[in-house]
Amino acid sequence: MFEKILVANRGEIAVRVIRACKELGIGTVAVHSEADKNSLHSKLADEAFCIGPAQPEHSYLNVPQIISVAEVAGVDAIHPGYGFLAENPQFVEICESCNITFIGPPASVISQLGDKAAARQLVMNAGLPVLPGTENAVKNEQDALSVAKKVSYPVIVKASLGGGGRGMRVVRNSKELRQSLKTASNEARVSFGDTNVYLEKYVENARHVEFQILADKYKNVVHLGERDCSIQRRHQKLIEETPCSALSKRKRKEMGDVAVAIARAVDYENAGTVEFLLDQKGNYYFLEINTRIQVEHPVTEMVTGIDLIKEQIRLAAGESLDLKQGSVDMNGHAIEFRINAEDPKRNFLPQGGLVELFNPPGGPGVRVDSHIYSGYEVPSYYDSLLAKLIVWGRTREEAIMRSKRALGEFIIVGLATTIPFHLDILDNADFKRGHVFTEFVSQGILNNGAGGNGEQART
Amino acid sequence: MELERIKELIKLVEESEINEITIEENGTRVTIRKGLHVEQVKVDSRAVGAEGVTELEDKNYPDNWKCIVAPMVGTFFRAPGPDTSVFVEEGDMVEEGQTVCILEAMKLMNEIIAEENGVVKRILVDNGCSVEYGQELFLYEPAK
Repeated sequence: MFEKILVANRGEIAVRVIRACKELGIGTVAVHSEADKNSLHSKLADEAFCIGPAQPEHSYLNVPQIISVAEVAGVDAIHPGYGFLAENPQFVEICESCNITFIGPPASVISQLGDKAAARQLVMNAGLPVLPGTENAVKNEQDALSVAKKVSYPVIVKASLGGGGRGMRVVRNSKELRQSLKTASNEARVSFGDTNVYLEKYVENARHVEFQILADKYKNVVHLGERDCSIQRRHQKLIEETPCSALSKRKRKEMGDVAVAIARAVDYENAGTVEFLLDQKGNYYFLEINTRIQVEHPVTEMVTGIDLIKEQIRLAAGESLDLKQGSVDMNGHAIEFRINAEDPKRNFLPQGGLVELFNPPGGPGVRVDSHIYSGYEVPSYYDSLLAKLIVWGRTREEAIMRSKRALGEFIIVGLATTIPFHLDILDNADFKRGHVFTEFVSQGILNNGAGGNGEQART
Repeated sequence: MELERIKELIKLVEESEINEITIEENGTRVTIRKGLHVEQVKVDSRAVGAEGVTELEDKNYPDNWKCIVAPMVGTFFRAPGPDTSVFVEEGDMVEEGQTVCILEAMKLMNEIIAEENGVVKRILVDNGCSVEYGQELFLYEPAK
């Protein structure tokens, strides 16, 4: 088992990883930018190093600095969290060459699955369902147009090296497609260093359903059930829950088995998530695999009782998975709310600032994962996530009542947050019925809190 | 670290093909390089160079003194090698472009240079200690 782990991240996930390390008796090393000098993760770690100025490329993405810290502090493993270097195969290789264990899949797996177009093709070739679209990346404009015509509009253009909701555009006709191909390609070049894009049929009113995978180094793979992440805004998740109300026991088993088959096909190791689109008819299609721990991992932890970060650490240390699919028990219902420093009244404008008072909720079935504390200055250089509120209930109804209670107790003074927005969603008739899909937010919840009789107001 | 232990280690290095070995035990680090130089260094288990901090927190130094800070994470060395003399001592005059110390990271030695002429007033970090980005290394008084 590792003696010391460097957490190459910040914010709530760095706090989360440090907590797991402490519980395993492993020493912790934090890295922080100058803007994060007073961050909670630095205070909690056994050792903390400043690695650069605020900008991520000079600090949290600064590989030489991070490796230097790993060296001077004598760590034997690095946990990358999510985002930043978590899915950077070059970073993984550098760790490997410095004899530092990277807590995650091997570089080759990350690389292979990081090309979303190629991953899609791999799954397609394995005879598993994918959305109709291009075989791999778009070859040229003609290719794109003919595929779009074949699968019929609307279609979605996605960057091959994108993922995580970035670099995606929905187009509804050939004119929009021609235009979007150029801009999407350019954006992809700027964001991901690669101009390749691929096309998929865009399914409206679909659910985003993902399965959590754990795999050891000895080809044992299990899934820990699904998460429904359909409540999104601009492809960014806002609320995630498990179980998914649209899945029967049989469908869950079927999709879970497919997720495991996909993980096996790529020799997956450590934690990962297989994402599917579920349409209103109950058809599911592979979207992509996330080769990292995800923001919403706590909802799975709440219903299975399994600590995913500890599992990641154990699996990376070479332990074998002592879980068998049959013994994975899902109990109750969990919902996670991402509390962001964004103002719902001003189109979700993100804004940092001083948190004068932070008083999180408590009581049974309430968990808060956060790096915020009273008196903390939220920097504006990073993402706007302040806290994750995760609520568990024996049933979805209980979880909803408990969520309202917990959000009502949640005090954050000094910044505008998305708490009022979450309360509105909890009052929405469709949400209460479990009738959620990815356009839920854009189609009207913002303007029409009550929802009505299942008709979503179109903006 | 006990003398007996160090003697054991020296023997180990002498009798083997090893050219250099570094052992860290209970807060002490010993480096043995062939050529029989033994350097015992106290390693700070908390990353930040503890000594520098109090001096600057009290700010009991003149306003015109300036600071040379670490531009990177690394291990601070006052001399180019174990047997050579240090780059600068307190009281030394330095010229713009003159090397004042080395920060070692990933086996690479990075020379840190003075940005202007001046006199070294305080050396804030112990030899062999690890430093972080932005950590204060030297206080100097700029030349007029």
